[in-house]
Amino acid sequence: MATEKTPFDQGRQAQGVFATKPTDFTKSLRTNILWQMVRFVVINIKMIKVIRKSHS
Amino acid sequence: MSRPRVVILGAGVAGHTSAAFLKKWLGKEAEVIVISPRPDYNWIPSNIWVGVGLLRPDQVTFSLPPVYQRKDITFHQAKATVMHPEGQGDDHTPFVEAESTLEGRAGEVIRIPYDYLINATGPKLAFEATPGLGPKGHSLSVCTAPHALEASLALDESVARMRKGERQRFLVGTGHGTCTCQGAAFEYIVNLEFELRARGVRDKADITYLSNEFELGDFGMGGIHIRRGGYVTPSNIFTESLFAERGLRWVTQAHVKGLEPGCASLEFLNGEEGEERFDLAMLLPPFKGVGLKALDRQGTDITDRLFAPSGFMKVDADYQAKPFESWRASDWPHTYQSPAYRNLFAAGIAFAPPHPVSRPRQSPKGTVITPAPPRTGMPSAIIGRAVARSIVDMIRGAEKPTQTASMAEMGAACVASAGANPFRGTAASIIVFPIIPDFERYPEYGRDMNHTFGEIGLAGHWIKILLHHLFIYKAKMLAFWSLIPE
Ligand SMILES: Cc1cc2nc3c(=O)[nH]c(=O)nc-3n(C[C@H](O)[C@H](O)[C@H](O)COP(=O)(O)OP(=O)(O)OC[C@H]3O[C@@H](n4cnc5c(N)ncnc54)[C@H](O)[C@@H]3O)c2cc1C
Repeated sequence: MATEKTPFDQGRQAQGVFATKPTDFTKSLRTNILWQMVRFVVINIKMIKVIRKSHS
Repeated sequence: MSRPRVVILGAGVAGHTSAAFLKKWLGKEAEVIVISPRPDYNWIPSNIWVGVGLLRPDQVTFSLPPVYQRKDITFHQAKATVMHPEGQGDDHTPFVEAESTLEGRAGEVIRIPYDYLINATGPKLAFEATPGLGPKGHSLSVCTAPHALEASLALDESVARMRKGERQRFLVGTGHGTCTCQGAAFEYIVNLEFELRARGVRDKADITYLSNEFELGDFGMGGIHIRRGGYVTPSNIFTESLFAERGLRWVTQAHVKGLEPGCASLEFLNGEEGEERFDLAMLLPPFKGVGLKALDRQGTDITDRLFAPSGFMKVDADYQAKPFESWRASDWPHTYQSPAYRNLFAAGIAFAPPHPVSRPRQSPKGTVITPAPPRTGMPSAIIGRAVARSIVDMIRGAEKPTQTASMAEMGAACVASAGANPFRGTAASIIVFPIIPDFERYPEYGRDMNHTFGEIGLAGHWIKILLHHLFIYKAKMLAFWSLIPE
């Protein structure tokens, strides 16, 4: 079914054209359990470093 | 000799943290008294999930009196109204006046004397600044747990309509040109979008973000820069990217002049006017001080001496008006002590910031359309703890505050939920150091690029869940609570 473009869609598309968009690979990494376990550790370490720096 | 009395106004992130640490460090050496109008503690960041129907209000709140009783902290369920920092007449004992909010005693005035006072009353949600804004008008809010519940019920209604085939327009963002807390609006819109997808009605929804930011990703912090993929990239690129990916439309540089049912009238920075139509609007209010008054011993009103026109309390910041280019990180307060009274402090949102962080801008009509500076949970708690430590040391003989907690010298870790699901959810983990950019120390971006960081992914969502449980556990002051960092 051909969907009609509402003014909302047109506005959204015009904005979206120049926005940086993630590739499918980047998107899949965001919810890849193994990769995210690694990121969980990395982000926590980064946060702990800043928390330590902020409490000193 | 009677024990020193430390009175804390407000049982939010800052006030509750102060009370908990004061009691831990002082034990029986002093009386710790908390005055707050509501008997509950609310972990406000999780209100977002109440607002999309994923949590119940009782999962983000708990009753304070049993906790305070267990810890020997005195609690008055009351709303502080007037400070008497010099006492009254011949009695030089400072005291604070409060109106009870207890059922059956509402409005009854109580007087609580103090040796040290911490004002941690947070923000007044100033819906009245925009005609028609707020749950009593034509838009919703997620600033309190009951507001968030109302938003979730309205969302259920919209979803029911979409299931019947109707299109629905959602408008989410800031309800005034001077709002802060864009992070909360950002979280709500991306969670809303995620939830509409989960409920199978995304194709029936037009979702618009409406903001007073000059560009997306400003967040009242003048934006942040992050090293990523071989570039130093500003936060507006990341935010636009996420919005474009999720099919969200955005309208920036906007002040909401007023709301009618289903329609927001706007004024833009360039002087143009416009409107946005909606079926459901969640628009945040601007924040003001809660309107505390102060009287001297003779009963003369000294509110102006203690408070800025915004109603927030003046502390040891440099409040001299100066042009944007002359703003310094060192203008920001260090000890949060009132310059007027050595035993008076403000913590969390209650202190008056010296200036915004984002460049101030006005429309040709003179309407200010600039985000106010953010005061998120982490700095509020760190400030609450630092003020508590200073007071402990002053009780034990120190002449002046011993601790500093400048927002220009501390970082903030913030996890903004972008969809709640243990396997498919994501959140943006953002770390900035320092919160207030310091262009003298970090000339190019104002921040330490080795510590400033941002990433979106499922790990962020897991961290958000962990923080929800950890911070509620900590606030309940259960075993080893003080080991959990602010
Ligand atoms: C929807 C939403 C989401 C947010 N998400 C995040 C997030 O993800 N991360 C983050 O770091 N921050 C977040 N924040 C910001 C965070 O909630 C605040 O920074 C924090 O609550 C500020 O703490 P506070 O103690 O200064 O104020 P509050 O927590 O608001 O506490 C103020 C206290 O004072 C009491 N009070 C008010 N008037 C009086 C009076 N007259 N007398 C006595 N007591 C009074 C109130 O009842 C309350 O107990 C969010 C804010 C909102 C609104």
